[in-house]
Amino acid sequence: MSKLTQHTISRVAGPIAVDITDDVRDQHLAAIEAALLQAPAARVRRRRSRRAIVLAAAALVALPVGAAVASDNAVPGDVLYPVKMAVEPIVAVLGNDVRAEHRVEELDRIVQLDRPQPHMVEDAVDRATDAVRDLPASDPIRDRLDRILDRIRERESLQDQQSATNDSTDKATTTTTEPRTTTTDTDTETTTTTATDRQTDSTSTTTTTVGDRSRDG
Amino acid sequence: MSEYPQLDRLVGGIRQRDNSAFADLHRLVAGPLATFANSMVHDRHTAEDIVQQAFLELAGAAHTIDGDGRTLRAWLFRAVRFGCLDEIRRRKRRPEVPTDMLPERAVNADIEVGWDPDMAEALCSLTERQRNLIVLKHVVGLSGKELADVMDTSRAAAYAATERAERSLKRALGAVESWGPASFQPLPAGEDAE
Repeated sequence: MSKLTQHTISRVAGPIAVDITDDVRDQHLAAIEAALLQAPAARVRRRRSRRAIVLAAAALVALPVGAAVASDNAVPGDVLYPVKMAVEPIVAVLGNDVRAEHRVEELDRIVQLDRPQPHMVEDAVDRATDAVRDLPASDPIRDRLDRILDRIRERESLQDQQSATNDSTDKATTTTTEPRTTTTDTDTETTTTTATDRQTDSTSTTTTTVGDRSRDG
Repeated sequence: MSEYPQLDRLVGGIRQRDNSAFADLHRLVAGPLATFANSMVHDRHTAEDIVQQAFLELAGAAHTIDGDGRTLRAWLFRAVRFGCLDEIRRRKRRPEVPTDMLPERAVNADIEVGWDPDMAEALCSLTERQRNLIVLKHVVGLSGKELADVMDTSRAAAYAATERAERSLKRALGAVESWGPASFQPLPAGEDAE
């Protein structure tokens, strides 16, 4: 039946025949015994596929973690700011004070921008005052927020003065007498009024003294 | 053929993950498995490693085994075949060519090692699948359903493919041995003729 002769078959078989020696057998049986001691579900997989799984898992973990870490310094308007807002409540260790500090910090940085968008300042003031509301009256974060709000108000009044001088005198004198603060858009006016209103709502007394301090330091 | 009753008796123990059943199974089939692996990877240590890996896989999947001793044996041969294909793929990715084993003739160095040059050249002209079928049928002694299971095909297809492989090998051997430079030894009379 077979189309191959015995001679051909022995020529194929001879050179490839492997006899398992006792050493190799003992080695295999030891490995098998060890595998049998493991849980049946622990199926032996190829090293390559295991490495691929580990890499995929690492990527799955690293991506959101990386985004969350990178979003830590985000400021309203940044691409990663929504991530920051989403991650913060998850990170349960953050107490009210830490969150309030973050909001105040964001407000501070927005105010220090060259020309902050009026609505951004407005929103940031809203968020900061909201976050501060639950803190005790003595909390230093309140002081810091007061100082920032003072600075906003100060800038606002400078702009008012400036627009007043702009109206009365000609442009040449304006540039020489003008204080260090640069002019911003006229829209800022609405922002600052809102900010000041809120500020007087929530934190009442210390405004003037704190304002003085911030101007000195 | 005599090992079939023995294999059948082992199936229960393998399913129970019984260590002595694994040892008996290893004693029965590790040699043929390693021979088959060696026909694909041409390195006996690699072949032995692949056989061990197949047994470890069986240890992990023992509870999924059902059927008789032939099914069990086919499962192992199939695992070894896939282990060898993985190894061959791995070698292609980062080839290790030992310079002292370069072939003298223009045949695939991967499969020449071991066989005499004529046989190597003839086998080289077959596909990997055809070589598998010839080794599994004539060297290991598988047939019918078992052969089909190992090769992931139907019984009829395995039979037809084996026939084709045998014809191809005969034709290739005839060509090599009548024209090939290394065939000065005359074959014993009547050999390789029908």
